Amino acid sequence: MRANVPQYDVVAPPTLAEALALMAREPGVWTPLAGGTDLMVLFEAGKLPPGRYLSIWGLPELAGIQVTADAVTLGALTTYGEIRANATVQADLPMLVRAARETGAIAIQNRGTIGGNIANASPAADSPPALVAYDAALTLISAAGTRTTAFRGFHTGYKRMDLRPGELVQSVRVLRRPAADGWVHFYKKVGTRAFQAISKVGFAGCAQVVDGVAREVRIGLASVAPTVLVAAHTEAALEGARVADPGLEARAAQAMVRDVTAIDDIRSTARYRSQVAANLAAAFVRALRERG
Amino acid sequence: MADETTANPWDTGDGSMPEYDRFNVVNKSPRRVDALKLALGKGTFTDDEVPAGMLHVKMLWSPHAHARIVSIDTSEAEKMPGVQCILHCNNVSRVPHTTAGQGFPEPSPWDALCFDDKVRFVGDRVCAVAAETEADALRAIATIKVEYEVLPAILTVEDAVAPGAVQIHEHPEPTGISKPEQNLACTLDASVGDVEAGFAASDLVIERTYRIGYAQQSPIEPHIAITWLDEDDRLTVRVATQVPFHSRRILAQVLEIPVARIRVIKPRIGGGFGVKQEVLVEDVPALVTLRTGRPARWCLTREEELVSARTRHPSKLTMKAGVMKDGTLQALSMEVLGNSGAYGAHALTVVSCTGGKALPLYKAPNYRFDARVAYTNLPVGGAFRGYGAPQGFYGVEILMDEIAHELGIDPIALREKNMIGSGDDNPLAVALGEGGEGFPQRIRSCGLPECITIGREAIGWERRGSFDKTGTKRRGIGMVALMQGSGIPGVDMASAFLKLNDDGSLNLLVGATDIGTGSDTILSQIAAEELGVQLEDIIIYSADTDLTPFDTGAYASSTTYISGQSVKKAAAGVKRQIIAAAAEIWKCEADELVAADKAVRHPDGRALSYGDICRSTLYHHNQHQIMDHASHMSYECPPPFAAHFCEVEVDVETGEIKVLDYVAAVDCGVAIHPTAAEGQTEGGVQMGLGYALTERYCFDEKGAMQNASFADYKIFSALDMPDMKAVLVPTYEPTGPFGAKSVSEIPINGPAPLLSNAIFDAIGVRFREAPITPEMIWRALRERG
Ligand SMILES: Cc1cc2nc3c(=O)[nH]c(=O)nc-3n(C[C@H](O)[C@H](O)[C@H](O)COP(=O)(O)OP(=O)(O)OC[C@H]3O[C@@H](n4cnc5c(N)ncnc54)[C@H](O)[C@@H]3O)c2cc1C
Repeated sequence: MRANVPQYDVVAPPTLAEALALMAREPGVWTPLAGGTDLMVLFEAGKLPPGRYLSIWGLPELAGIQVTADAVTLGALTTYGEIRANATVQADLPMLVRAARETGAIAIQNRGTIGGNIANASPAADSPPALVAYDAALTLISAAGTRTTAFRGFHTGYKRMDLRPGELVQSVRVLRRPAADGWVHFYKKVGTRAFQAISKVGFAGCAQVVDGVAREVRIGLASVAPTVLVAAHTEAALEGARVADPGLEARAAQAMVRDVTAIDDIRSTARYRSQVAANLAAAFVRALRERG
Repeated sequence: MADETTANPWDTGDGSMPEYDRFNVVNKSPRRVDALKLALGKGTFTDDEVPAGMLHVKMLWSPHAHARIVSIDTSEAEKMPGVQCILHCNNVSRVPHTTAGQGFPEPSPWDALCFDDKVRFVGDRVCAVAAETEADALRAIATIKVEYEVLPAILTVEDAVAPGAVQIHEHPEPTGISKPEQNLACTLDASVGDVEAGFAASDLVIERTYRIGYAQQSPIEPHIAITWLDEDDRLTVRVATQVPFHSRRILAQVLEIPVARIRVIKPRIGGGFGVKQEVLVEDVPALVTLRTGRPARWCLTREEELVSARTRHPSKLTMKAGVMKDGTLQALSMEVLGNSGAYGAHALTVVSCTGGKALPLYKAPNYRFDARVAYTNLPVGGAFRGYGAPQGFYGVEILMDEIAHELGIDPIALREKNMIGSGDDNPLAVALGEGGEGFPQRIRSCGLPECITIGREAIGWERRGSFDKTGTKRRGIGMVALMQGSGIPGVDMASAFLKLNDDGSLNLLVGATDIGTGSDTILSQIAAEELGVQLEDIIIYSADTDLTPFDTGAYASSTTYISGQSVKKAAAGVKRQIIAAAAEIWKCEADELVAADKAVRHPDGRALSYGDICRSTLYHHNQHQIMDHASHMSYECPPPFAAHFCEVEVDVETGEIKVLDYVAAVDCGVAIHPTAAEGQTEGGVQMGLGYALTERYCFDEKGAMQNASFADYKIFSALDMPDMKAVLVPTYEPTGPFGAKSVSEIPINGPAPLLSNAIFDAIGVRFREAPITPEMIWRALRERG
């Protein structure tokens, strides 16, 4: 049942500085509220803990997409709709667009934010695999200042991450990966249904293929481990490999089985997940080969 | 009735299409009469108006699949703030009844009580609390202490019917249970000819077992009822129901008060699909209102709807057919073991349709149908669009494909060789009536051959077999043929009342229940067509047991065919009275006069508008109210026919199934509102695709549903829909209003068997279990190697 509204306090500070000051004064008390597309689901189900919520939705300091010659920076409040509409992201970081397109449906895409997706720390979310594959960097901000950390490794366990009390995700920075420079992007969401569905397996792989050799291989997966998964063994198996090598698919698939720590749940079985992840690793190799 | 149909100017006599030029309002797609108010948010649903001082009901549900209640301690809850009334087995009388909203006496067993001292599934009622707010009620529920004696739970039908199984209904009160000691809610068998002889005479005998699981109707509006006492202290019930009159009757039974003390109002309804053919939530707020004198409301949450409302009966079908080498069917048999869950609502009639609607599609000299429906400690089956036919066609239509494959015959050719057609009798109709012997049925209109021709062309059937079978994505094409019925013959009855107003407009009062189906529009069209007025001239009202005449309700594909005919008869009566009044004014013979375009015309050119005539009869000439009423019941139940085709793509690496293209060609006679008929077809296919691919009940080892939310129980959404084409293939049904048959249930019979057939064509693996998930595809491909 829907929660009892009077048990919730929501404040909406006009500036980022005031928001951070409030969080610094009462550490651990205030929970950020961005688009609300995760929090309000809990609220509606009566599962959101009563308490104090800090609406950051209106803070201009956390909004917007900035493009430079070599990188794109997404403010934490960037919505999926904005990601889908951005020409640079479409051209150079197409997996972010794919992930955005597959997240919920239009209404969710107009409201859900990339920062919320990261901080919600769901192992089944759609953007994190792409952020792993693009080796994103996070900027975190608190009243004490900012710090930057790699997205890979940010999530440390089920719903756990390296975010301190009083800290907000400010932005995510990704280097541009134009196809003209040999970048290959491979994204696949396997689910029961096309839309409004949590994935059984989500796969994002990116690498630069130059002279038939794969470099900077990065692979992220959703729904196969307690956090978004960095497929370290598979990345290592592919790094520096000749994409024409006929044994490469099998080696990638074998490595992937070692990477995956899937479980059985109501959405699927562990064996199915690990086998499908392995098949997708092999399909990723074929995509690299097409390029090389 | 016979006179009326032979006199019908549009009847060509052989079921073929007449000229339509003379239709003015029907067979057109005007804006629905309730479209504007719904689009503007003005349509009043049950929950849109709240009486002052209303209490809120919440239920404590059983956490056990099977247990006896030893004691209930509500002492703390009674003292909680806001609590006004607590109901449970120790303070509510034990009145056995069925929640199935069917004609009287219901063919479902009376095996339910409002509150029993036993719980039979996780989600069964234990104790209701009515309080000032839902939050108060929930807080009180958290303090209630129930002591249970947990019993072994039966979670499969096989266990239910195994010797020595614990008995689920052992109390003395229930009546109508077929074999309570064997946990059988009902058993049914019927046969024509001698199947064993038929098998013996066949070139090929093929036997297969098919299983199809739970699914929920998932209307967007869940069950809700609001009750209050009116100024005469009569109990008023505003409820999201498909069956207002059955609701009134069953409530009177359960509450032990006269029908005269109850008024049931059906406002706008947010979908039902059968689950609201159940008198499921009215009793609890009604009891609260009777005990406290205060209005009360009970609205199920989505989770409660999925777990504790009603579902489609899961079924195991063993099919056996005997055929000659050329494909001629010699014998067809179906054995069903159905799962009714904890109570037997609709068990007998649903399973009767499993055989009765699906088997006769193919003509065989010998049939056998043998059905048992067992109780288990799982969620309860009920009425759901298709009403048993989806399970039946799942068996029949996959079996036909398997036979075609074994014989090396084109699946379409095999069907065409055996399918029923115009002029044929349905040999099973007498053997399988509504809980007893039925009435003979002859097919008078059948567009199935044309449905198949259109579908085969639209999907590109000739491409079948030519797809590349080496890549990671494999394509395939499949087809199924289908039928349904139109109303329950000899049972469903509807009535309508019409009166003429000063300006020539007419009030149409019907018991027929628009639940979002569009029947208010369709019945208005029928009245307008018959009377020679515009759609806007009809002011329809449905349904209120105090104000509108009786109708069995919105189920069994009966509204257009049965209720429509009652409206047409009443309209014909009013038209006769209008003409008679004009004849009296002009002092001429009535048969000289013609009524059309809202006026009566004399051959000499004079004319009187309906408004003129009404004002004359109300205020001047032979004063009387022009009005009429009519009832309709039919011993015939003409089936609509359909052929569905689809193309799928299976990803052999992930097991994903993509439906690329879907064609549904349907013969529903004359479509009264073609856009609505297409909409029913598209919606039915969408629901059917969920049933075929994504909708699944996951239970833990104790029988608790694990995925009771729309996040985890996946209905097919608009965005999941493939390219889909709904084609109406017109025929003329001489017993229907303006040639109409039903259309709303038949489409859901298609997708589940169709996907099995198309996937077989794509990857050569035959699935005999639905839904077909990516995991199943992947596992099957691995096993095949
Ligand atoms: C119908 C529906 C479908 C969905 N489908 C998908 C899907 O397909 N794929 C998918 O990945 N997700 C899906 N979601 C989940 C959700 O939309 C996304 O996770 C979204 O990105 C969350 O963003 P938000 O701004 O709405 O987060 P909120 O609900 O506002 O917040 C989510 C969490 O993040 C924290 N938070 C938010 N912003 C910050 C910040 N800047 N710094 C620190 N913490 C912060 C909040 O405190 C909260 O814990 C769906 C949700 C719904 C309701």
